[in-house]
Amino acid sequence: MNTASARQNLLRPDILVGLANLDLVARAAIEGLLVGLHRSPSFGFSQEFAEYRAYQPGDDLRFVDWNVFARTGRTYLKQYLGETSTHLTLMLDTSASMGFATGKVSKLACAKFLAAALAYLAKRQHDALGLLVFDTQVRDFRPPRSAADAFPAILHMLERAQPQAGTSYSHPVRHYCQSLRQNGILAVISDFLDHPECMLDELKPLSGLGQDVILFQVLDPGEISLKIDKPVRMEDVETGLQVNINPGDQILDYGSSMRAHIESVKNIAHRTGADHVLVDTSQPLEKALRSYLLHRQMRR
Amino acid sequence: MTFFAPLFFLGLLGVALPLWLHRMNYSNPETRPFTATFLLKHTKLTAATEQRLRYLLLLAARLLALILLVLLFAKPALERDATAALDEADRTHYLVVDTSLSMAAEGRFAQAVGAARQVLDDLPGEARVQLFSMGENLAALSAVTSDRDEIRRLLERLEPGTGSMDYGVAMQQLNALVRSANTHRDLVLISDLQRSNLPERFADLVPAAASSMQLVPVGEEQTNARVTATWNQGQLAVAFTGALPAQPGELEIWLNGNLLRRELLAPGARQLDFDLSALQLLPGGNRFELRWLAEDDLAADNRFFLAVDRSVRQRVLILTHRPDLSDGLFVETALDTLSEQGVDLNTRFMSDSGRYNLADYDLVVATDLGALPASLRSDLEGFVRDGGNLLAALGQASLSLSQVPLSGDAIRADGLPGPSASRQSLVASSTAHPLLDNLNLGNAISLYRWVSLSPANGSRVIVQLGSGEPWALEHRLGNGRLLLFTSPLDSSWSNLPLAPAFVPLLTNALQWLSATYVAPEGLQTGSSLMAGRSADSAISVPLQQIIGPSATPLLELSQLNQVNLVKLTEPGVYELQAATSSSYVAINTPTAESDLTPMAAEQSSRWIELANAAPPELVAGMDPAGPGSQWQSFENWLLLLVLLVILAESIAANAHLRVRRQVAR
Repeated sequence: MNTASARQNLLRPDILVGLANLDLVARAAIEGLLVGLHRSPSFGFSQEFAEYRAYQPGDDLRFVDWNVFARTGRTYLKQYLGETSTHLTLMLDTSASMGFATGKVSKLACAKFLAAALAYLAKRQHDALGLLVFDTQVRDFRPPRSAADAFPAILHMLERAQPQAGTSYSHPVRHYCQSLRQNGILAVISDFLDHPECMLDELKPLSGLGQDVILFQVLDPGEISLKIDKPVRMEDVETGLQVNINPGDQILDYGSSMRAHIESVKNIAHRTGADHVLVDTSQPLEKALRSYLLHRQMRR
Repeated sequence: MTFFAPLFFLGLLGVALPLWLHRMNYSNPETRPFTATFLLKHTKLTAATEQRLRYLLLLAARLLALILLVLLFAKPALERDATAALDEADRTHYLVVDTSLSMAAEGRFAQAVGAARQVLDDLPGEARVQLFSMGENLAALSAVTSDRDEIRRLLERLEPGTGSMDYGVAMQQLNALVRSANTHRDLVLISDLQRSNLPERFADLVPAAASSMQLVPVGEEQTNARVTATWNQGQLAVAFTGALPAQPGELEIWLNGNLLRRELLAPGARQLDFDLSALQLLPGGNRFELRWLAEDDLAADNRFFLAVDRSVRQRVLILTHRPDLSDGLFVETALDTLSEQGVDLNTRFMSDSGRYNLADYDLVVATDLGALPASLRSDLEGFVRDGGNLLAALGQASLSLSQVPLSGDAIRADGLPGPSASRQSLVASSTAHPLLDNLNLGNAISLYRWVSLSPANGSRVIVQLGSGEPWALEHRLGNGRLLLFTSPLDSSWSNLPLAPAFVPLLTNALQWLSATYVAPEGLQTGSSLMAGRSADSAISVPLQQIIGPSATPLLELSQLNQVNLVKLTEPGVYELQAATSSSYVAINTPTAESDLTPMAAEQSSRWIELANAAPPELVAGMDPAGPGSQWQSFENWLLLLVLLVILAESIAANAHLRVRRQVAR
């Protein structure tokens, strides 16, 4: 196994789950991703000068062109082609269903890895970074900032998040809309296991905000395809409802229902101008991260 | 509240079954956490609490259904409100007046009739009454009627009888008589409540069919004594039992309607012996009557009747052929037991024809018909044809013959079964034959050899072997009869003489062949005897007529050709006429009626308590909680409730199983 393939393994959630903290997880995941990308120019970070921009409060002072300041007495920031900064807001679902797992990694853990990795990417690209943690209501929120402590703060918030309660998108979406200051990228990380009609109503406000929205639908393989070999009674972790099922036709019914549901979520994403990325907790995070980078590239 | 069948409460043990089953299934199936339950579209989502409740509801419904079923089988009934007045239309008053012999004691019956009148007067005008007499039997004297005058008229004509009745039997008869009456049944019993007529089991006193009971005791404690006598070989022993009166009075002994002796009794004397051996009794029956002229409260038992039979004795000739007479030994011994009943036996060798005259005998017993000398054979045939009776057996000597002498039955060539033949028991072919009267052949008799016969025309098989071959045959020959056994009446071919049925078999044979009747002893008023002729030849009734104490035939001409059960109600000596002979039987007053002591007060109150507390017995055709009962059944409502609970249980179970069917297909 060479170094590149070894690093790519770091994108697998079941390996990332063994790492000590989210910082390390994020770095490992992104380094693994970048190795796989072969530092392609398409996704690279160019040092080609693009323009000067007047300093605005909140901008990182490291990018102030002090030579210009010395000559003119004005503060300008140098901007490069690959480093056009943007805002990334991560919206993380921590409802009880996100705690579901049939393997080593729960959906919430996987979602945290994804969020940390995205945050790390954003940090590397000097993007402002924000996080909104929610279930039926907003549990934690940090508006997008490009400050140096943004990334550790986000990681700390992610580590605090625990699965609880049900799911409602209306409150967090409204909260996000009210705090919105600038166009950016919104990454909603959730399992989206709710009735499509309800979700459509709740996510609809995201359309028309001028934001690039990505819906990361995190699902456990045990949810994507139901595997039972004996009669069991399923108890809903959020509602407590119980249903008795048996091996046979019902599994086939469930498989088609789940496929239809994923299509419905895609359809919701389409109708709200968002992209949909399905994240299988048993698969490497590469696909999800690539999808994000593609979006990031498009915003340049 | 009461339960008519409380033993059914044992069924409550069945409650353990659903409890056990529900407990067994409690943890099935396994519960797993899941997220996308809303995608399981084809299954019913059920909240855990709801399902648990439904589960408990199902269990409760099952337990309730079981408990209600047990209750239903236990036949619960509620006590009616005692204060609620019953409609007289729903009541029937049964007025039972004791007419047994003891009621003839001084003043008792008049007191009883007066009490009955008083009961009638106390009843409401529209009350429905039925009058019964309790003498030898409980007899309904009227239908249920509201006509009080009719009842009074019947009371006027009512007299004490000569019979006796156990109170327990009376209550059972009452139950049989009124069981169809589905009303409130009030029983009023007017009686002297004799202690001697109490049943062995006190529980028998409960009038099962009566809703309530009232005892009206009559008579006071009175003194009475009774005279009895026995006859033994010319010795007449007279005994006095009970409370002797202060003045013992005189005793008269009457024989055949003539005063034989009169004795003045000494005070306190309880036994007298008379030597009448020198007395010349008449041939046939002699009627003794003892009249005790004493002043006690019950005169009816101061007369005692005795029948001393000096009938012409039956003469039986036993013809044997073995030198040691062993072939006739068992027969002789068995018939000798009847010597006291008028049977004279004489045993002779068949070959000694010069030493006996067949015409002197009523019955001849031949131990082996095949051993008869030729001359005796023709003499015997003439004897039977002239009206004599022959009881014969076939033995070793008969095997050489091809035909049974006299009867003509064919003896088969293989007439004697070999030693390897299986032993045979006896089976009655005609159970109604007099030969088998009160006879239990059972399996105790085992025959290992016999002569196989093919019965001739006119022969009738009475008893056969287990293999179906004939063993005892009846054959009519002229005016006489032949009873033939296909094995000897000794122990050479069978264990017959050793069996308990041997003596009764010969006794029956003797009585039947000689057409005599041995009268039973110790009969009391109220006893019954069968008499008459049966149209069915298979049924033989030994008695053809019964002549009462006043020389009046009890059977009328129209009754002679049918079988009658004749009740002997009058004390005295009766003549019992059989086909060719007569015998005499004495009927005396019941011993129990002579004891005038009433039952103890606690016994009568206990009787009342039992009768009024116990729910009516469950008898066929009678509703124990009918409109006349003090108990009100609610079985119909309970049944409806059971149906509703079972319906609820079905619905709950179906709902529960509907979920479960998805689990285990």
